[in-house]
Amino acid sequence: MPPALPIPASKLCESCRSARALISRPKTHQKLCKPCFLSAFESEIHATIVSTNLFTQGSRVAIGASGGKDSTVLASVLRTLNERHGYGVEFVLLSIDEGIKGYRDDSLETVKRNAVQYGMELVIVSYEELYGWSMDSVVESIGKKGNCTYCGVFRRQALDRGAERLGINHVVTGHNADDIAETVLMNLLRGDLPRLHRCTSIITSSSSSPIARSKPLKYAYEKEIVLYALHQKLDYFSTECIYSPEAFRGSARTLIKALEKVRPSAILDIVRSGEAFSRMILSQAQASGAKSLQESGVGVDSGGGGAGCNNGGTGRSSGGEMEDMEKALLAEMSGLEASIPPLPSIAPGKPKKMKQTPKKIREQTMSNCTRCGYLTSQKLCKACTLLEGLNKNRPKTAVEVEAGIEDEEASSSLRRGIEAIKLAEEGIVN
Amino acid sequence: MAEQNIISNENTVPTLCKRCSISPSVINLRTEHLCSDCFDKYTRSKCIKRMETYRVRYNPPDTDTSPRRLLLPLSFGVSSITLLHLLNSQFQNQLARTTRTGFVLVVVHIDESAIDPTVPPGEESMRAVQERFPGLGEYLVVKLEGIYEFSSAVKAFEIDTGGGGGEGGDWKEKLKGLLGALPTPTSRMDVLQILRTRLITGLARKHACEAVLWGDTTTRLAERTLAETAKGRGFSIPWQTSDGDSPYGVKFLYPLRDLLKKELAVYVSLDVPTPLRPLCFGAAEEEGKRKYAAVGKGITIDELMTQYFEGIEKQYPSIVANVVRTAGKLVTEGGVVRIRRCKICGLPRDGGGGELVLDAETKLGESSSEVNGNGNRNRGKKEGDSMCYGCARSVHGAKPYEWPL
Repeated sequence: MPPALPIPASKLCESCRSARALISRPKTHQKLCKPCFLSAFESEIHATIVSTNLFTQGSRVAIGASGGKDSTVLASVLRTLNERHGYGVEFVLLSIDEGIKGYRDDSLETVKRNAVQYGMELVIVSYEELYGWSMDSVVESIGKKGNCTYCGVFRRQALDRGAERLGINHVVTGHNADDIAETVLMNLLRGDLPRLHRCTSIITSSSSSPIARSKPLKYAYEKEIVLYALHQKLDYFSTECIYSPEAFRGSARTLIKALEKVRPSAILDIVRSGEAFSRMILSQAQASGAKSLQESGVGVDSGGGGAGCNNGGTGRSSGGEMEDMEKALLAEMSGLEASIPPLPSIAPGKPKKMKQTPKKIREQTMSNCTRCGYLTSQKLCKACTLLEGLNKNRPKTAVEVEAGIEDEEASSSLRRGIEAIKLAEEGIVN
Repeated sequence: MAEQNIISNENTVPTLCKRCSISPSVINLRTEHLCSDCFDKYTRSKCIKRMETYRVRYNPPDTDTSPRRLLLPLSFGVSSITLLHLLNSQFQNQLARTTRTGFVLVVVHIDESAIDPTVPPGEESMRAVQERFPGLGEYLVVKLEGIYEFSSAVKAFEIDTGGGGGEGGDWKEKLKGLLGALPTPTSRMDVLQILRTRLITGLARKHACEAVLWGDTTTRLAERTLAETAKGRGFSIPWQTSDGDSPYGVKFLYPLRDLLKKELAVYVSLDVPTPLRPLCFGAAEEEGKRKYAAVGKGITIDELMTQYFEGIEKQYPSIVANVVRTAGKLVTEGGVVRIRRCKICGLPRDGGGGELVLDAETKLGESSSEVNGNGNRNRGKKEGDSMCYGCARSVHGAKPYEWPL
């Protein structure tokens, strides 16, 4: 049955060839109709889940939910796929209430509605109840600078504790392909091999946490997530954290966006390269640096992004990270700072693999924090250390500077929500 | 260009060179100010350090004391001209000290006028260079289409016999056809780079050279690292940035790897100890291309990275070096020898680009209709299987063409 008004062949959906194409897929520039786009988006996530054996029948999995577009789309897609393909997983929403008025209180309302819409249990863990400090009061005490460190450390532990409370050992977060590509480039710029090794893994579990984190949206483009949310009319919240500053990520993010314009596949291609890197890093290098990571408590692979940090700036609050790093590298070069071990230089005429001399690695033994019982390599866990400072009204800034690590993939993006919607509109053909 | 890197001291007390404390500084090298003489020494030492392997050999302990043959690709840009100059002075020093040398050069310029008629063929420039640095070895200009000369050495692959054109066709036309078939400027630039590398390594083997001396600076290596990452070739970064054995059967060496691009720009601008600027025939062209790229929409990934690092280099030179150092810590999986090679770049494959089309739904999200929409799924499958991911990406969507190697 030909339609009354035949659609010109050039305007047909390239997949089903029957409906009119409405969406130009950001990933491939393919022209698709709405149902074909939605189904392509979903089936790619399904394929990711199946090929990595992400879920097991009968398990309970927490979705780190911030109310932002990434985690909202994640929750919606997981519910759809769970029903469609019978994963047999019970999904639960896990939100962190940092205690930021005018931001988190509003976004939590979104999550509460989502819980009803998707019929999922919701657990909210607040900084206030866990630590006795809300972010608002932390900022009041220490000022706007450097508070992201507190937030990052607190969030990571809060997610773990929330999951524990739910009797769950797997948290999925909304990190998307853009976030991961950004992180790969960032870790190259920062020379962070341990992170480079881990940042593309779909699932990470570490000795510092009994809870596994995974990223089912690893191959999903941010632009497509926005399009999906738009076309599914999902209820999400798009405002930036009021304390969020533009941090280190900026440089890598700008680059990613420019690359995407030049070649849309670039984001995926970077993820692909990142996956190769992770196999190209010697085991000694994979572990080194783990200590500062434990200490800082932030930046462990999946970060806290999925549960709500929008800016990725858990490590620093000023935009001067590249400058700081430049200074640190310079100091290292001139041997002024003994604390940074000198890196092996490249010997001429020898292939790379030869010159990797085993570096002394501080073996770390994990034990429980003497105060709160959280896993740590120190006597006190990072959160308790920070709290001690807070409670004495004497912030320990020195520690953070040394750690200098932020979230690996900030689930960046509420901040860009508005922009992204614009993009989404542009993405609609005709 | 260079001026901005030179510390201008006109309105302040001139900064003195930190090493000799006599002459005024001409450059601020991150940690120290140097005068032109000390900067010259600095630059030479950086290069010589990398050339350690090619010092003069003596009878015991060496069994073979003949100078080793090294191929130096010369683009007439600032870096390769500077490298030639630095090697020349090392060469002259060896001669003066021992009446022998540890190496001789085969200096090769690739003439790309076949694909860009505005590029001069290079013979004249080469003569000027040869007059300036006589006795170093041989000087050759090789046409890029000469790559077809090597097709017999390696098995000739045909992606698709696009009707006609086939055997015995005009090399120049074939080459133009190949590049014209590629879908985007990024792909063309990418493949062009591969063609150059393969031609140069082919020539190195043909001329019995044991190594290729690339003119890449720290900055260029950092650009390369991020560009190859962005093109999905992360797996091949050690082969493209590290000193040592390459999968092409010759060694690669990057003697300028410890010098920044902006430092070389200052070096060349100083005309000390000898003016190099008149030999940088390609420099103006590089400059022009960059400007064009900035405005044009057809900017490529490589150009984008060049621009990016130009900015980073100004403010954060240590970060540039850090990228290269990080790349240097990546090791290739399974070493240099792997049986399955990509038919385009010739590098051992990374599981291949097969999934570009095969696994599209799972990995890349390219719907199958894109592949089989015009009924060539099998072709696509075959293609992807014999290529690495990066090459499969670059030729994805290409019109039929014939690959020379």
